[in-house]
Amino acid sequence: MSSFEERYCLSNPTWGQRLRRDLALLVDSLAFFGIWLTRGRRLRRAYQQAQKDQTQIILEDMQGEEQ
Amino acid sequence: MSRAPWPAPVYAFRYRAAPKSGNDINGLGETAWRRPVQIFHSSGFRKVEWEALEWFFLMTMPFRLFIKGMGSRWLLRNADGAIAPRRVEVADPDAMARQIKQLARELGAGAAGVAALTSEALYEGIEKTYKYAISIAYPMNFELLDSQIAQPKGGLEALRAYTEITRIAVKLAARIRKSGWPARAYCESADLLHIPIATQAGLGQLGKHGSLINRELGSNFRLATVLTDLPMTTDQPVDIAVDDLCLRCQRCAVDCPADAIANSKQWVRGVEKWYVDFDKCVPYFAKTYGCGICIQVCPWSKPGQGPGLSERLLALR
Repeated sequence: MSSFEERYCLSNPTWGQRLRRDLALLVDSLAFFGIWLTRGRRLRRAYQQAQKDQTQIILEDMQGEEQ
Repeated sequence: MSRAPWPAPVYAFRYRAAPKSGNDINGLGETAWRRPVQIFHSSGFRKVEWEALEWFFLMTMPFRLFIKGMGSRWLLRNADGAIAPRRVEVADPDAMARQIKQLARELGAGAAGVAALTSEALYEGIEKTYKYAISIAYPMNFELLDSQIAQPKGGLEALRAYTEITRIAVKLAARIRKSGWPARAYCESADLLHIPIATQAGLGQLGKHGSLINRELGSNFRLATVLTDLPMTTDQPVDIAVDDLCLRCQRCAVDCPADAIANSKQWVRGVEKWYVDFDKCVPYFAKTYGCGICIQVCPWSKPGQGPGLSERLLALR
């Protein structure tokens, strides 16, 4: 699996490659923001409830459910 | 010395099955050298052992932190780019190194140094494709952090510093590429380790709290690196008497709510050095969205204290 650097930081790109990269990053960023807004909200609520109840959320469950 | 009222190390999250210890992955207790492996804060999409905590960290952080981090990544897309077809030959690598460090400062860096790039600074699986590394430091706002450390506003200041240093590193790399030499900027969550590079570049020495201590800035700064083939004379590691302080001072170890800081050096992947207990530090880091208590309480971090402290400690030898 590639890292951010490998995926988006292009060496000596052409104008077209740069445009495609910018569009891809924009789309990926918006998609990730969408996840943070929607599924992340459920996670944040579950975490706040766990803090209030002095219980613990299970990280693997949250990751599995949200990703 | 007493503990300040920072958030208690009580966690409303846990793993069902604990991941492999970060200390084991880091090679704590190992006397043979090997390259490091990423555990947490992976660079984008690479799978790491502690990714469930990373996911929790990203998803639960306040909006202002999340959006600042996204902005920094957007800047970082230009870490590499077009190289001018006509290369400017370098007759004097010494003068070039001075010029590059001066440029870094003009762009806003608090300190800059040059080192030869070695595989020690690259995570396992990352190939060495450049000859030199320019290490740059950007100072954080000490006064702001003093009242906001281990709180979202403190994390926001750290992310502001990362955004600024990303901007500086990206511009510096672009200026080098304009002279026909390849250059690539690396900032937070990168494919390389900034601290070993900064140490070799003479920016400072590793402190007990696992962060670099710079003579003027203390630990109150963030690091970025530009890798390049532009010929430059490299700087040498410095001795500013950090060990002299850390062997006597226990401030960070006492103040760390997670008890993650040891009072003696330990063997890590073949090197005896200061090491912070990963398994204790990182959950607290995630809980507080960046922590930074050890950096803030370090006597060296107080603005204006560093040079005098270094001189006094060196004189005591």
